[in-house]
Amino acid sequence: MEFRFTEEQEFFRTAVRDAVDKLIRPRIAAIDEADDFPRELWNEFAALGYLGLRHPEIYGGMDADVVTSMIFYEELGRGSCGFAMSVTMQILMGTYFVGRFGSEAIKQRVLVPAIRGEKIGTICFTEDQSGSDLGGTRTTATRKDDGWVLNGRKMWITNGPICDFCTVLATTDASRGMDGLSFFLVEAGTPGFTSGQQIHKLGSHGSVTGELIFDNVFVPDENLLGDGPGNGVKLTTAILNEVRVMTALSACAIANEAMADARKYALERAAFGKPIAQYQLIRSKFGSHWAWYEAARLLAYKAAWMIQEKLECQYECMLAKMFATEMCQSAVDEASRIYGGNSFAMEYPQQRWFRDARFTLFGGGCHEVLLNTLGAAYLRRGGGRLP
Amino acid sequence: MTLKIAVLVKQVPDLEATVEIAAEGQLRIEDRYVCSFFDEIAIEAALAVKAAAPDTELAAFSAGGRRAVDALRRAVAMGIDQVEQLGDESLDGADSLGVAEVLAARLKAFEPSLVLAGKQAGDDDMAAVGPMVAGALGIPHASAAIALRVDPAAGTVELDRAVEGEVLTLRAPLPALVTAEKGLAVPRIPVVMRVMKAMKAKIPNVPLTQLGLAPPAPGARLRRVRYAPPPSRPPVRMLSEPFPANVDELVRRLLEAGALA
Amino acid sequence: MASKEIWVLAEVRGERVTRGTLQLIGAARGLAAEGGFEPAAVLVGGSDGIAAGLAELAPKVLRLDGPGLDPYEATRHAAALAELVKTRGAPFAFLAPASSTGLDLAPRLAALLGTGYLSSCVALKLEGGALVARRPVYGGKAYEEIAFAAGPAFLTARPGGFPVPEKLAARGTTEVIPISLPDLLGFEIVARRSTSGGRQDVSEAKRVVSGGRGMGDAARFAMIEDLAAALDAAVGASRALVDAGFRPHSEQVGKSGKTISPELYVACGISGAIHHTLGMNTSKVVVAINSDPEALIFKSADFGIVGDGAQVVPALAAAIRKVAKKA
Repeated sequence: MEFRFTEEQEFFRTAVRDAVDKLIRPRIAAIDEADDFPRELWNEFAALGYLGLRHPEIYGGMDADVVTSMIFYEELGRGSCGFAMSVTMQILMGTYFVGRFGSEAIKQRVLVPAIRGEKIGTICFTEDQSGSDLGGTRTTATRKDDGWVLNGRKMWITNGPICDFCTVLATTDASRGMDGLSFFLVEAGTPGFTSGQQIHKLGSHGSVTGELIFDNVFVPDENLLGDGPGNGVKLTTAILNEVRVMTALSACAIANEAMADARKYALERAAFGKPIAQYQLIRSKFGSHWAWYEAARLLAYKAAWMIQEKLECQYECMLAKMFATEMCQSAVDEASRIYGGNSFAMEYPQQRWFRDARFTLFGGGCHEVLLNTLGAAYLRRGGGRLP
Repeated sequence: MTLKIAVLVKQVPDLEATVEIAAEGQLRIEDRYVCSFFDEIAIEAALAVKAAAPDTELAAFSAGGRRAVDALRRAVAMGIDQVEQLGDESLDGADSLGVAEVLAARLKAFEPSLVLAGKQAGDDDMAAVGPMVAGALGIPHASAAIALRVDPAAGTVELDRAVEGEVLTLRAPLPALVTAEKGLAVPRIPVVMRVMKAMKAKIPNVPLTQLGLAPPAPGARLRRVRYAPPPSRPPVRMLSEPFPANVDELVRRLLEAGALA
Repeated sequence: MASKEIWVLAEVRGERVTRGTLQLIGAARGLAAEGGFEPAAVLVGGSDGIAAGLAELAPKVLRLDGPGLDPYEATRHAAALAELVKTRGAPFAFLAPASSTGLDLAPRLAALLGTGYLSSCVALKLEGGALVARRPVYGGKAYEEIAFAAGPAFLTARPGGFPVPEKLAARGTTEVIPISLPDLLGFEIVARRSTSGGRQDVSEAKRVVSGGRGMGDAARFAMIEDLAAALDAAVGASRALVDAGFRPHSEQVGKSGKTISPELYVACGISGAIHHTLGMNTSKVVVAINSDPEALIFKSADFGIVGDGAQVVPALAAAIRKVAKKA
């Protein structure tokens, strides 16, 4: 049993860290304040080639394995959370189905420029009335001629307002519930496809989030992604594991950076004649954080390994995401307490970690839903075990 | 002439790594190692020369054990395909001259037109290996270049160097050695394809015996006696009188301390 | 004989020997007194006039004279000094200032001779008959003390920690040593331009006034320059101002700029982050002026004033001028 990354993986991590430190970290505050998509940074970052992380080399990608990509997501999470959301959407959710099911023509038209950062992609699950409850999807896809007509509105779409293409979850047969869902590729410029209201977010500035409207949008047959209609949920599960572990590691990165900043603060800030780091109640916050952070990270990488080994791991991925994101909420809360009154000042970085951390709670599924699923599974099968 | 450039690199602790003196007197250094800051500048400068003269041959060399391999991987990631590790761990405790002799032995056979190195390494801050290699090879050298211009047709290298109070422009015929100062080039962030290539690269090794050298005898010329912490200062005396009385008090204290003499 | 000598490489700027040279002669005289050595100033090229000036401070002056020795060029100066060692024998120690020239020349010379070499030493002492040098490592986060275990000790030293010596009671003797070198290829100067405008270099000045972000506009920095003028000091700048293009890199004090040891360092509007303090924390007396009472710089200072730099700095310049007039 080895709890160690390989030398290759360590080298990769150092390279990504270096890129994040040089390109992204100096701009975190500015990105947060601008609260817009940082196009210039996007182009610079795209030029490094990381957007092709999970795609085949023939399309300009890197064909990296799951654990390697998780290392990437973790390091990326140390920078701007909003920018990280834009990048991960592009690397994973926004291009996954296109890459896996798109025709060669679609891949050349959409995937290749996406990997270069020239076309921005996104995925559309959430609607006004349905978040975790995919069965409640009301966007419809109706058969017509050699294609489908899509109608509906999607909400909370990362980079929806600026996307060049999106993968839309729509129901082809409402009577079949979860088994009637399918994914469709819709490209910008298709008549009836428009961007609606933007959401002004609490945090994760650096991605623009909003509504996408499908008003009698016609797409040809080849835009149905997946072998035949009705596979939507099955395909979603395939990607959800990765999304959850990615969210877990992003949360670990946020927690770690928030506490790293708090550590520096505690070592310098004096109260009653000595640095506050010398007081027990402050020290215990760091000690406690260390334990929970290590545990969250281990759980996340174990889940990543299970995905890579193609083991049955949907529950482990849920556990990882839930544990890490809850740890993260606690970490940014404690970090804020260490800053005391200064946590309330926008000029300190603490408030940004605090705001950005909040999104990890629901990205990849709300815990209130996950806990229900996990509890039921636990009762059914008696919990997890070492593989 | 077709240029042949050798870049000398070293892996050192990150500039941000914590360094402490442990209770028993030895150093405890955080395990964060990177290719030395100035060496990355030298690598970038070499890549720039090649970009202008595409038939230039580039190679990077590092002397030592495992860390030398790490430095060379960085060179590959940045764009140098030909890299060599010279020697082994027995060099890790060698002094600057010991390292310089190993590098010079290899370079004598390699016959570079230009050798580029960082001005100084981020661990010992000695700024010695570059000029020592040049001395051992008997070629001209200049340190701390902030600008570099190579003329392959004329077979010369020209550089700018900031000294106290002026900037000098120096020129020498090749072969020559130049060390890199901040501002000479901005090291690129490696693209991921090169990172993957570097990750998988098999770094060749040239053993000391092949260079006709024996492992250096540690402590032969220089012997470390002890480590000491950085100098500390007694707590600051704040001049808390209201302005402008505090300024007058400061001047009085400076006169007293002899700081205005 | 040579092995009982401590050689100090004289550095000349314009027609004058640098202050650093004088301080290293002071260092050599201190070691000499303790260990029974004889200090000798070594002048490569130069003039009789400069040699005469050195003879006021060093009991021996060795002037290497020959074609091609002016101006400084690393290959020729290293060869000339190596020739001196060959004919005269190696000294106990060779001290060169840790200036641009010294750092460029001394390691090449050490390689030609195969001696031990240490750079940027800040303190020197004798322990058990061997020269032990203290020098910063890891950017100044720690210091090491290294003994020259065998053979001559070649080193460059930061002059800031050594005293300028008093003139000798009796003038030293000068020996002119003819050096004729073979034709050696080297780096020739093809152009030079002044960057100081005649002002002192921050790395060599006795006093330095530095401005940081708190003084980072034209009006405020003019106050820094004025205070520097009042103190006959060089002007320094923090990394923030240099990275912003507001001040030249030659003024940067700190980890990626210059590490300096003046007798007086005045930091105005500088936060005092470690990358700056590592560049000046060996200064003899440090004054910090900052509007933030929690600023880190106060931890690296001897005296501190909390206040608006735009108010304090001009007042300080005026107060300094007043005492100068009285003196």
